Amino acid sequence: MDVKALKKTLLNGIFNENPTFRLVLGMCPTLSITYQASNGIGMGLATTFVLVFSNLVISLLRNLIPEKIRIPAFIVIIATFVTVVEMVMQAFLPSLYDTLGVFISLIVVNCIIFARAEAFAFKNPPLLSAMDGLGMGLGFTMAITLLSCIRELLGSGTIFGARFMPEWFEPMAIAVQPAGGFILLGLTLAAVTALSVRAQKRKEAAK
Amino acid sequence: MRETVKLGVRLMLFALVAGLLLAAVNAVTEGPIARNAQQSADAARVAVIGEYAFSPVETDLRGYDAIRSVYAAQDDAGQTVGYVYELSSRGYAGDITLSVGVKDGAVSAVSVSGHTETKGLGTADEEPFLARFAGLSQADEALRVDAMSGATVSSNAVKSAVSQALSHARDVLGAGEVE
Repeated sequence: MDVKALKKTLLNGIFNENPTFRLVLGMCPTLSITYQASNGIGMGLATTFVLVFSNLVISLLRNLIPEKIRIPAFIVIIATFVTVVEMVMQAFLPSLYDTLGVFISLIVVNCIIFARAEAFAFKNPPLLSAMDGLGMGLGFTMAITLLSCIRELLGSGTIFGARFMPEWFEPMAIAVQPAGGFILLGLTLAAVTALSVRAQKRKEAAK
Repeated sequence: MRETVKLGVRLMLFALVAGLLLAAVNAVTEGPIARNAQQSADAARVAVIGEYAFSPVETDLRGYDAIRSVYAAQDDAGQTVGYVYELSSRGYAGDITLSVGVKDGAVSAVSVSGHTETKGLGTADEEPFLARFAGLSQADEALRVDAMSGATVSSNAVKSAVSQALSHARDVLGAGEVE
């Protein structure tokens, strides 16, 4: 296993196949929790942990899991890791658990994890799969942290609770509400796509 | 048929391993989780009456629809010095849950532990509003406390809950009378 392939897999999750901006997966947590920057980063990191370990275990077991029952087997593995994260966090990091509580269990139904199990971990060796999980997890974390910073800034005038907007700024309540989430996600998606199309064109022109 | 059984057994094995793993994690985390829950439940009670040991009181709650549970606050000698009421009252957009401490027949403090009222509305007023209840000993006094401006329904929910706690403490538990 060469280092180059590992690096490529890692960066693939963050840029080329960013789960939020490119694959448009995991929209439920993306829309529901991103009204606060701290939620975005907490959710992103918890998801990254589950992604790395579920990818690793599914890849290790890929020759033992019969094709026909792979989906229930994936669900058992993913749900086990989510429950472990939930119990450990509740026991040893109670304050973090209190802010993330319900979102932790929601990781089970995050389709990014399932998609990576099916599309990557089931067909690739363990180390590469774990790296794919890490890349996808970090890509997801960055994307939802960016979106939640924008929503928190517009909706409450703060980022991570620290005030960023001048006194005269009237917070736009819609930004922290579900409808505003959809609108801002659409705008952010458009902006990211426009930037990457431009970068692509410049690359081709340079050739 | 044989194929189905084989797949079923395989899946059962996966579930068994997952179950054993979770049981092991649970064995480690069970204690700390229970301790955390106890601590955070006690913290809400300590906030309204002070550092005491709390034990649930079995009592007649007929006619007191807002009261969810009652705890006796006991000092080191095991003497009951007051009561903590956990109440839930219908507000503007859902139930407001709050704790009320009653000591020597008067309200020691009121604290709201959860609500689904309009975010931001009345929060600036909330602390002075809740502080106005401290020291009241008559149920009807609690109903006459000045409301939070712009949040009359929420204020009324809190007022009626506090008033129920006071009248229950006096009429049913006999708190404040010389024992």
